[in-house]
Amino acid sequence: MIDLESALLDLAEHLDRPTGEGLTGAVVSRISTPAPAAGSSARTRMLLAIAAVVLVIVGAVLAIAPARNAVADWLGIGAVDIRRSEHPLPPGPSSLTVPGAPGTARDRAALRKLAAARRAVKFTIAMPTARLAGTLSGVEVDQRVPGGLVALRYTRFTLVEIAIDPAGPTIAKFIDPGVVVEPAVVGGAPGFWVTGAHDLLYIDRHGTTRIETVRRSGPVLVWAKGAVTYRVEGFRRRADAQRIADSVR
Amino acid sequence: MDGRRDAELVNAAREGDVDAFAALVERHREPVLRFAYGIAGNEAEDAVQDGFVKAYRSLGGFRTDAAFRPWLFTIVANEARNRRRSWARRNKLALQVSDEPQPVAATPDDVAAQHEQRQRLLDAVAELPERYREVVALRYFGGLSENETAEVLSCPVGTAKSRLSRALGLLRGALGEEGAL
Repeated sequence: MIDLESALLDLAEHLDRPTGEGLTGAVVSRISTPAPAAGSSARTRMLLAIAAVVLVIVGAVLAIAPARNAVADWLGIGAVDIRRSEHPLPPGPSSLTVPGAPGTARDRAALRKLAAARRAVKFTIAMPTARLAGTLSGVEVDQRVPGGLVALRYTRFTLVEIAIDPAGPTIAKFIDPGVVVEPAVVGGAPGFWVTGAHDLLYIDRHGTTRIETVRRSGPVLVWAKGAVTYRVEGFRRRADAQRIADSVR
Repeated sequence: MDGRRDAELVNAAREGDVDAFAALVERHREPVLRFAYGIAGNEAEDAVQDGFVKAYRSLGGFRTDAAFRPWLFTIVANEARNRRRSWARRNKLALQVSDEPQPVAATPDDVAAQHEQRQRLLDAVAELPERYREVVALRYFGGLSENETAEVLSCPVGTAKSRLSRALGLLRGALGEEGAL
């Protein structure tokens, strides 16, 4: 009989895994290319086209640069695509129809809803444990996102958890030119702090961006851990958002 | 092989030194590929390639006092998980067809029996619930320490240990009471 741990170490040496011989060259080639998503994919082109449509719909007369120039930056994380617009987008509709949008009505049955939400989404819902979080006041589930999306509403902020869909991002963020995107780390996982206003759009499971879901959002801390993307929205100060994020278990 | 430590290579890569990052890829690609294969099967190479690219682009957010390896595994794990569902379960994990020299005393039957034992173990790993397969893949395929494994899983070391212990128990159960090895 062989010790199981030794057998697993031996097994690792005999996996029929890819050799990775061309891996270094492929990675170097990609990181040497300055614009990682400068209109290179159909989805990117579509998103940019939709962004242009949104601008037209809200009556803005803005010159949209060609796709390659319109995206000055791209930072994808988990379920969220973050793209930078060259021009500030005008204020979006006041209706908060994007998934995870904070609502106004306080829900006294939040905990009961939380239990239902746990059954409805395909991931384990994590909760903020910091005292700063206060009391859970509302729970919303949106199952238009494959795997589910849940928004936990607290008095000062909303924590949104979004299942990461292997087919691609499900939320698009278009950030204004003046807004800074700072790298962040939450529990060892990579993330971003988006310092200012940006627009959120919902991408459905067919890859279509739903323009009716556009809305403005304030600063947000977004990070991906496991198969879930998280965002904390509602704090002006990064330190407050980070404290909540760090306490999410 | 570049003799600089990971932290030195990371610092150089943050300054735009692509060769330094290439050295990091060379250094870590084997264990990372083994780990990703345990999670995403034939999608492993894409997951690892995307993981390295994302790691490079996220270097600005990497804490210089943190260890690079668990941070890299965290990113690759995310990529591998994202691909897991698209990797059909029918494509089961496989063993290499060995071209290693066999011990002189080994008979063809010995070689076949050893291959069969490994395949049974691999099948058992593949059948583990995801959270247990992941901890096994991190620890034994990726070669991470207990502390590093806990860091990737974002849990206390004790939790990672108990999860691994449970995973080994499940494997023993799947292989039969004698361990079948």
